Amino acid sequence: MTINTKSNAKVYVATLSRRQFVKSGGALVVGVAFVGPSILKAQGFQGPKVTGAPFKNSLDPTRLSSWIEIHPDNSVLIRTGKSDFGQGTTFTAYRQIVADELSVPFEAITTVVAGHTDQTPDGSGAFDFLGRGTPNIRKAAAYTYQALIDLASERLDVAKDQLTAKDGVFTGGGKSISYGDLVKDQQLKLTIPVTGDLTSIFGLTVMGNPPMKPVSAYTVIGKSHPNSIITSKVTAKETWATDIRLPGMLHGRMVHPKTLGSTLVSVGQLDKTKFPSSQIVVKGNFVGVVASTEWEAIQASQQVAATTKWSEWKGLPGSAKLYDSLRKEADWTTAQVTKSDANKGDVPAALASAQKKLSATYHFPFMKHAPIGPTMAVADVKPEGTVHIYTHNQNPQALRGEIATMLGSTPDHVIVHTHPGAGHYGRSNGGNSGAEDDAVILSQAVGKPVRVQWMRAEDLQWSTQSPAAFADVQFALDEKGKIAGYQIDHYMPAFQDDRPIGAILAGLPTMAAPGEGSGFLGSTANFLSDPWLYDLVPNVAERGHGTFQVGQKASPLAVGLRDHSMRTPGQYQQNYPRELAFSEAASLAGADPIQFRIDHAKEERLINVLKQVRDASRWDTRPSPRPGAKSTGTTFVRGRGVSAMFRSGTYWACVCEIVVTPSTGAIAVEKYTIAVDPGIVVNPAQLKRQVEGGAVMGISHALYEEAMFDESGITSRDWNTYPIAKMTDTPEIKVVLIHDPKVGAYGGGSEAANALAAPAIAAALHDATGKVCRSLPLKRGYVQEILNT
Amino acid sequence: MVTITVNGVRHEVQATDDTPLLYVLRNDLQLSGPQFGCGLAQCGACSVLIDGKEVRSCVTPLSTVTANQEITTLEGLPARWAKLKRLSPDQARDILHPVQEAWIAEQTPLCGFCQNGMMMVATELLEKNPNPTDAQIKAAFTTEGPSPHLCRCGSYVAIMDAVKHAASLMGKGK
Repeated sequence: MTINTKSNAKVYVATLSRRQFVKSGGALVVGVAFVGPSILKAQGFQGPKVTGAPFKNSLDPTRLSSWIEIHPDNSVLIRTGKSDFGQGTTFTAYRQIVADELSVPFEAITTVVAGHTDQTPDGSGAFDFLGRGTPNIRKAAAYTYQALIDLASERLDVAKDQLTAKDGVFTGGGKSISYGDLVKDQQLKLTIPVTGDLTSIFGLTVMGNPPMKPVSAYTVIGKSHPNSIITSKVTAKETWATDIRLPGMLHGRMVHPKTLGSTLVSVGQLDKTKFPSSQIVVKGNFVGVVASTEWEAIQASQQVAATTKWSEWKGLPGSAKLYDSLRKEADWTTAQVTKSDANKGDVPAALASAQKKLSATYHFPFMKHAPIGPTMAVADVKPEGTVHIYTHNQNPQALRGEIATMLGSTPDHVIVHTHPGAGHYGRSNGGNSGAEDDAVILSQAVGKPVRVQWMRAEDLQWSTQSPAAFADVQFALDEKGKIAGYQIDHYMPAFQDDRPIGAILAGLPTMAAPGEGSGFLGSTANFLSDPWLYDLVPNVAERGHGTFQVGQKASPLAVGLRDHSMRTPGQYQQNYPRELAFSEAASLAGADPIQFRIDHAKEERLINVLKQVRDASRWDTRPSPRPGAKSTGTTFVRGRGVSAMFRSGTYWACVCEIVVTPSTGAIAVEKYTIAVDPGIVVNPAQLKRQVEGGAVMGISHALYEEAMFDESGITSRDWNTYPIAKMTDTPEIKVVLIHDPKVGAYGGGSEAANALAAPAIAAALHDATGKVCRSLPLKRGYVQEILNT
Repeated sequence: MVTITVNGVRHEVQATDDTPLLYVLRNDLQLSGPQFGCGLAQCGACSVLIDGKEVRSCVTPLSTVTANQEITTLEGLPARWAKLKRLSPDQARDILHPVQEAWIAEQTPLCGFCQNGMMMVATELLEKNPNPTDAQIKAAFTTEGPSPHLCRCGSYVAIMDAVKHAASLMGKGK
C-alpha cells in the first residue's frame, strides 16, 4: 500500500490522523494515547496521574486494534477490557450506548471484543459497567462521532450544524454519505486522551468531555435488545475457559495445606506404577501434581495429599466465637476511623435528650462468593519468559500485573485471555480468581501448558470470602416520634486481599498483605460506602473501624481468612444494620416503616421508589409488628418488611413478604417486590433478569449463607455444608423499573438487589413475630432460639 | 477401549473404566456442554441425558455406560428434537431444540455455567410432561433428581419462564 496523503486534525482534545491509501479497505480506528499530567492540566483535567505507558502486548496507540472500528460496510466493532460475567452489559448496554452515540443501529455493531489483554484497551474490572453514566466506551464513541461529523462536513462541503446522522448516514444540504463511505480507502486513527494505570484495579479512564448525545436523541437505549452471548452459550457454541485445551497440555491439581497456617513438613508419596504420567511439583509450601489426563491428576493428587504432612495450626476463633473475638480481641486501631460525609449535628446530645432510644448490635457473617464452577485456568509459560494465561477473570489487566510481580517479570511478558466461566461476583475484580498463579507455577516447573482446576472443597476453603462485620447502632426518637439522632459504628476486617494464594504458598513475590502497605483498597480502613438516605434526620454520626483479616497476623502463611469484595461490597455490610435498625426505629415510633422512611427523606427519587414499591406490593400501611404477631406455635404467621439503598447512581427499595413457622424457625419468602430507579433504563429486559437474579441471591444470603470455620480453616466444603437457595426458595418476584430520562444518566443495576433482601426479610420476621433477629443468616435454629426467648 | 454412543455417534474411548463420564465427554470428545461444578452430584452443572433420563456425569463411571445407551449432551439437543419430530435432514439443518429456543427467547442465563444442566432437566421433564405446572417444574429442578439443580446467579425465575415457553413451543410442534 502507498500512502497518498497524511494530515492531522483536532477533535476536541482528541487528534484525528488521516492516511489516505490507494488500495481499497480502510477504517476509522479509535486508539488511545497516553498523555502526561501536564497535558491533562493544560486541558483542565483533574484526574489520577498516568503511571505507566502501554505495555507491549497491550493495545498500542499506534496499532489498529483499539476501542472502536468503523468499517467500509458500515459495520462497527467495539473493544472493551470489561469482560462479561453474566451481567450482559458488554454485549447489550455497551452496544446500545455506542450505537446511540454514533447514531447507528444496534445491529451495526457486529463484533464485541472483551477481556483479552492484548486486544482490548482499557483494563479495570467487570464491575461498575455503566460508570455512573459515562463508561469509557461511551466517551470513545462520542469522540468517534465528532471525528465522523468533521469528516462528513469536509467531504460534503456542508456545515456541521447542517448535518444530521441516522443509521450510520450523514444527511444535509441535499447530500448524504454513509460512515462506511467516509472511512473507505482511508486509514484514519483517532487518538484520545487517557489516564490511569492499566494494571491497577480501576484501569484507564478516557479523559475530556466530548459532546454526548442528548437523552432525547436516544433510539437504541431503552430497548430490550437480546444478549448475543446467551445464544452461543445455550447452543454449546461458546468457548468457555473450561474448554481451552492447548497442544501438550497437562492437567494439574493442587494439594493445599492442611490448615490456613500450616507449613509443609514432608511431601507425600506418588505411586508411579499406578500413576505413570504424574509428577509432583513442590515450591515452598506449594504442592501440586500434574498428569497427562485429568482423572489421573485427580487420583494422583489425592494419593499425594493423603500422605503429605503439614504442621498443625490453630489461630482462628472459630465461627461460634467470631463476633466475640472481633469485638474483644481484634485491634481496631490499625487504621484511621473513617467518617461519613453525611455526619452532622450533635448525636450525643440527641441521644441524651431522646424520648425513646434504640440501641442494638447487628452481625453479618463471612459469606462465600461460591461460583457454581470452581476456579480454573490454563497457563503456558514459554521458555523465553512469555506467559499466556487462559482464564475467566474479572480484571485480566490487574492479573497481568500480579503474575508479572510473582515472576519478577514485567506485564509485557504476560498475556491474559479471558473466556466465559462461572460468575464469581467480585472475587477476581482485583486480579486473580484463584487458579491462575497455580497454573503459571506448574507450567513453569514442567515446561508445558498446564490446566489447573480447583475442586469444590478447595474453592470454598482456599478462596477469599466476603468479610464478616458487626455494627453498633443507636437511634434517638424525639417527642413527636421523629428521629432526632442516628449513630452507627461499623466494624469490618480488611475487605480486599488480592494476593494470589499460589504465589504466597510458593514464597514468591506478591503485593503486600492488607494493612501492610498495600495501598488504598488493601488498607485495613473500613470505608463508609452506604450513602445516607434520610436527609431530614438532624443529627448523624457514621463511623467505620477496620482491622487486619481474621488470622492474618497469627498465620505463619500470613493468610488467615482472606477477604474479598463481593457483590455490593462493603455497602452490604453497612446497609443491613442500618436498614433493619431503621425499621426497628419505625416500630419504636409506632410508625409504618415505609412512611417513616418517606417522612425522613428529602430526595424525590428515593421517595418515589418507596412509594412505587409500596403500591406494587399492595403494602398495608401500619406499624410493625403486625396485629396478631406471635413468636410461638406450630401455625405459620406472615410478615412484611422494607429496605432501601442508593448505589452507583440507582435508587432501590424492596419489600419482602414471608411466612414463618415459630416452632421450627423456618422462613419462606413468598413475595419479593423491588422498585429500581437507575435514571435511564438502558435495557429493560436485561435489567429485569439481573434484578431477579440478585433477589434470589439475596434470599440465599439471608436464609442460608455463612462460611463456617474452626480454629484452623473453613469447614464449609460442599453444597451441603454451604447451602445456597434452590428453585423452591424462589418467591414470586415483581420488578418495577422506573425509567426517568430527566436524571440524564444511567445507574448500575447488577448489584444491590442481593443486599436489599436481608434487612427486608429480617424486618418481615419482626413484623410477623414481634422478635428481632439481628444476626445473619436467618437459619432455622437461630430464629427458633430468638423466638423462644 | 470402551464404546459409548453420544449424540447419535459411536465413539471408542481410551479412558480407564473408572473415569467419570464428564471427563470423557469434555476431554476425550471435546464437548463443552456439561460443566464441572462439584464432582459430587450436588449441583447438576454436568448433567447429560442417558436414554432420556438426567444423569450426573461427574459421578458416573465410564464402565457403567453401555454402547447401546444413548447419551445426549447440550450439543445433541437439536438432533434429539429432529429425531422426535421425524424431521428430514434438510429440515433438521440449523434448527435448535425448543428448550434452547425458549432459553434464548427468555434471556435465561446470567453467567450460564449451570444452564447446561437446567436445559437437560427441562428436556427430560417436557418429554414426559408437556404441560407442567409451576409445582411440577419446581419439583423437577429441586427434589426429583440426585440433588437440587443449583444456579448461583439466581436465574430460577427465568428458568421457570423458559420451561413454560418451551412447553408452548413444543406444543405447537416447533
